[in-house]
Amino acid sequence: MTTPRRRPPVARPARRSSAAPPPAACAQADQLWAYLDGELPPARARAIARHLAACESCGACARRLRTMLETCRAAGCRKLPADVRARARERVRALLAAARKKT
Amino acid sequence: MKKVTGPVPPPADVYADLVREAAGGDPAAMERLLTRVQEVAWRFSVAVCGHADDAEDAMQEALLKTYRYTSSIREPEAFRPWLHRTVKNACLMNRRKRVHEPPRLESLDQPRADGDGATFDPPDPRRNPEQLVANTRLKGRLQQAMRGLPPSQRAIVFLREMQGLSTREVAQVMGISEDNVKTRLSRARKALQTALERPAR
Repeated sequence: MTTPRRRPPVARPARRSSAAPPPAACAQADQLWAYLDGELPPARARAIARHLAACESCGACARRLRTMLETCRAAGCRKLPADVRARARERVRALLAAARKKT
Repeated sequence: MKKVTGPVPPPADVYADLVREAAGGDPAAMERLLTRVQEVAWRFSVAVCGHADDAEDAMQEALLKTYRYTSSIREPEAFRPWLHRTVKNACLMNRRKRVHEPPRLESLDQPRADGDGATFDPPDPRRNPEQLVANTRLKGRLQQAMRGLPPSQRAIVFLREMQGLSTREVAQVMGISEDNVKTRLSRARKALQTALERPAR
């Protein structure tokens, strides 16, 4: 992987030919995802962080991806409806009670 | 300039310790584990398969298999992918049984008649009202966007983004290579990003 000096860690935004860019026009989103996933080597991650702090466009893009990731994380913690939760607990109690009887 | 925050760490693997304690004879740990595996089965059924009606069957399957498996487990770290593979297979079996029925995705936001309207844990409850409104909008959009993904990408998004499994674990669950997981996840992320940022109609 090249060093940040020779190549910016995140590319500059694409040239805008029209007034409004497409909403998902994050340059090198894969790099940003690797950064947000914490999968980059420390030196590379630091270089990306520095670039994101300095580049308004890439910084905004990183914040949008982060928001999406946090929304997904929240969906993964979705609470079970009360009736479903109650049935789940009841199944556990019944199973463990039956197991105790056997022993 | 707005502050750019760092990486978003995935949720920790809470199962390994719980499995060790349960296998070691701790009844409270076993109860927590068996409850938790059913929660995962329900979430997978609803978010990936889109059939809340099938969720109870998947929950039952996850419960029984976990109970049988836990006492003989040798690698607690391998439990998380095993559980998700079990749940995925249970959901697929249920689908095959009901293949004639049209698919339906339950709303991630739909308030329920039992008053348990808080179907989602917000990422940060200290956020201000504007952020909470924005979060609600995002949740609705995420649900719509998930609907538009092919089933395998939906499953990968659930496993990776919502449950925090590693690429390797997702590959084990899905029975595909890690490169394949990365490719499908990248496509799914682009599709979700586009859908979430599309101007509201």
